[in-house]
Amino acid sequence: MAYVKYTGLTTANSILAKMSEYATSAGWTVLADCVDDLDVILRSINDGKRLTLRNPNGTLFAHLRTANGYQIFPKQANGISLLGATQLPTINHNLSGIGLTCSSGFSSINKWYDQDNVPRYKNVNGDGDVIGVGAQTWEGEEHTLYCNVISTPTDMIIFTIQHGDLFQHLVFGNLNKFSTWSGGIVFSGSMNSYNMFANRPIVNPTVPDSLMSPIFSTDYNSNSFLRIDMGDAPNRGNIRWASSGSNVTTDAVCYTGKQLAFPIRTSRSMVADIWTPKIINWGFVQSQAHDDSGINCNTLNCITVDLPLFAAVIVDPDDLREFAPVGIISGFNLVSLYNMSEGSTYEISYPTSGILRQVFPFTALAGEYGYDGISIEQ
Amino acid sequence: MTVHVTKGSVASLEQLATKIRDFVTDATEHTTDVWELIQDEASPYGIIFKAPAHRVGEYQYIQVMMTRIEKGITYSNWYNNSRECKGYRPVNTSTNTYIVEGPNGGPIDIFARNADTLNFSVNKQYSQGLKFYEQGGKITASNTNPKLLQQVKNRYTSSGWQGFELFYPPAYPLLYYPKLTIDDDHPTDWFSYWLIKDRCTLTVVICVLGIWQSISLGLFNEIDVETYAFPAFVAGGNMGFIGAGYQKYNINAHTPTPISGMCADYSIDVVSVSNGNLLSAGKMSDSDVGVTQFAVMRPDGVWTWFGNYKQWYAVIAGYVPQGYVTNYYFPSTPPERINKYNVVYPNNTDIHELVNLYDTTGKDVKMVIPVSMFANDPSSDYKGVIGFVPNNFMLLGKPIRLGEQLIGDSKYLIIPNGWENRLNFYSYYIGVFPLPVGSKETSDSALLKDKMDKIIEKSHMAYLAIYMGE
Repeated sequence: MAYVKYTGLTTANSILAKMSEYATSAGWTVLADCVDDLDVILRSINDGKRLTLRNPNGTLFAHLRTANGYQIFPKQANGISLLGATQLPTINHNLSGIGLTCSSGFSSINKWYDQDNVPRYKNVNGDGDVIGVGAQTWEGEEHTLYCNVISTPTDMIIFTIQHGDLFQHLVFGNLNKFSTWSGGIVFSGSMNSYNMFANRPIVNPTVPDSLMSPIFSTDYNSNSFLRIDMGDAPNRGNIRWASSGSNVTTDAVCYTGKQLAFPIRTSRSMVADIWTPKIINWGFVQSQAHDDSGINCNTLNCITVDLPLFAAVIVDPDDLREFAPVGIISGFNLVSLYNMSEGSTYEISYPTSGILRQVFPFTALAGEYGYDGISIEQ
Repeated sequence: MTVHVTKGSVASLEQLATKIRDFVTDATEHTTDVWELIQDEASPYGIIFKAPAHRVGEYQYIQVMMTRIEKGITYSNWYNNSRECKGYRPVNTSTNTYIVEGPNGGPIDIFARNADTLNFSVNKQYSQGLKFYEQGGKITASNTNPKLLQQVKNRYTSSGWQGFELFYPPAYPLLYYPKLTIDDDHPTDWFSYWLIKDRCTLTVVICVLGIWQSISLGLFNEIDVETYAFPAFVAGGNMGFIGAGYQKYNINAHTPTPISGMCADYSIDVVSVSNGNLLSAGKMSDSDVGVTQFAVMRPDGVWTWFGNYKQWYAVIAGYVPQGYVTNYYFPSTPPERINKYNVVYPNNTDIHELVNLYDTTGKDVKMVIPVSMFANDPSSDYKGVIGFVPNNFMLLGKPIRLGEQLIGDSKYLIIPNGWENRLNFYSYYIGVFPLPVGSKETSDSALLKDKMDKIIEKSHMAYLAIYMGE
């Protein structure tokens, strides 16, 4: 389906309203349509809006929430600990953006993120703090929202928020499974919930976008999460989500207890470390520096090669570190944006195929991830 | 693309060449995809087929040639008689006489043993009367530095021997063609073979005494279909490259001089990165540049090499207690990954943590991944994902058994990199009272030792899955 573009959006709430409008037109059900929501710290003031979407066959619930000066997840850089908090901190206008988490159920009574089987930090008892992803916005400044949907073989919505040269993505949908197993909800964002407000990226080619990660990549910090019920291993708790980063349990990593790996890599996940997944990866073809085109294109005439994006998860027992491929992100490919412009559509198989793809950089062209980006089926 | 398969057993590579000839030219079997036999001669000319290329009206020439390698004879004959070697044969001056040190005035042999070799190539052109390795568009290694086993040139004057000089000898022309080999030290009455052919490619697989060799050749599926004129490839088999050496005392020397370089050992179980299927192709080289068993024609018509490993050899001195060196050893070093060069996806990186598909219903669900080529040649602007090898896939995880099996609705031939549970490297021990190179440490009798027992990436091997049709 052809993408839709909304321009001139100056607040997180106005972006969220357009997300709702688009999801409705794409056939998704809106369960909470940008309703006022109480703050997550004391539940005392309305500090943002929540949007809950359900995919057409009812298998996935995506929860989005705007931030307008206060944190929206329990654990966030520049936020406070919710435990024992007695008063709201001073409003911080840098804490502006949109958060996302996914679940297999919905309740309008609980906090926006407190839903059935949402991803949580690794915790033996299974009640760690909720994890999600997010994109930062800049109040009063102009943003553009690009919306894409993929309907076959599985559902997926891709929101891309542009601010100047910087592109941030929020994606949720179902994995196209290779085989039979329980789960399948997958979501990703340019930053995880902890890093969402960790710094304020400045928009220029030398941006400190290093705290962002390419969507559906393996990086040190997780920014993609896959629902996959791996059973009850002794002493481990019931882990339902896999996280795409390392297995370190610091807050910024957002480790769920099960590693998820993608072939898209960053320099942080290409090092020979114990946690880095030793599986097929595309580090070799990706940009190696800000100004490197990568080799994911054919030098003869700049044809970009679409490489299908699969996911692999460590299967039990964890100690063996055996990554089993579980499925594929449909309609989504790694591309090199060398000689392509952000947000444009291209006919992807030379010379003519009729297959159009919209392309975006992971963050910014010639930024932390060079010319690496994604192409989205139209 | 329709795939045609035949299989059976033969007694020799010579017979296999005949089977290939009869199969690919069988018009009943292949109908419009049939290949035309245009030359059927013995070495050094070979069998040549005219095969269709990707575009209608264009052709490629597929060459197959059986050549017998005799240690001490083949290389020396070529060296002493061929016009290519003229410049290497010493010229005697009025004051100096140069004699190359080897049997009968020839070189020290670069072939380690007697073997039959079945060589494969793809050419753009065909000319009658030209040898296998002279045809237009031949595989050359002109942009590589082969560093073959160095030769000794003794200098004599009227007052006798004046010492020696070293030089790298010329490369035997069939050295760089991917080949199937069977050496005399592994005699067998028969072995199994499979021939898998489609319109533009042929895959030949043999299993000799439990050791598998495979070669695919023809035109690969290029991504840039408009401007890539001739995407030829020849990949797999046993190039047999290993490090080797000997030693020689110079005038008044207490210790010998080690003389080393690359040799070709066509033993079916030679432990070298240049013996293996195309997923694990590798080069014997002290740099990222070098010849592998995976040759690809670049868009500009130059042959280049793809591979995932590199390996070289070490020169290790064996000391006696008095401190003199009496012996040198030339063992291979552990293979390393090639980081920034032409590589073969998906085995271009450490993948030992990758296993079979996840499935909770108890089924053993297999999957294969297409093999493609990632070009990144720093010596040119040749970069990019250039194409896919037809009918060749990598199996995810470890197979339950080797040979033919169904994956999904299709049949595949699953073959290991040489043999089951092969290691990339086998440790060895070198001590004072030297055990044979390659043997394990057996006692503490050694006073000095140099032990290298690092085995890279444990024993994970990439299994090749060759598509055999629905």
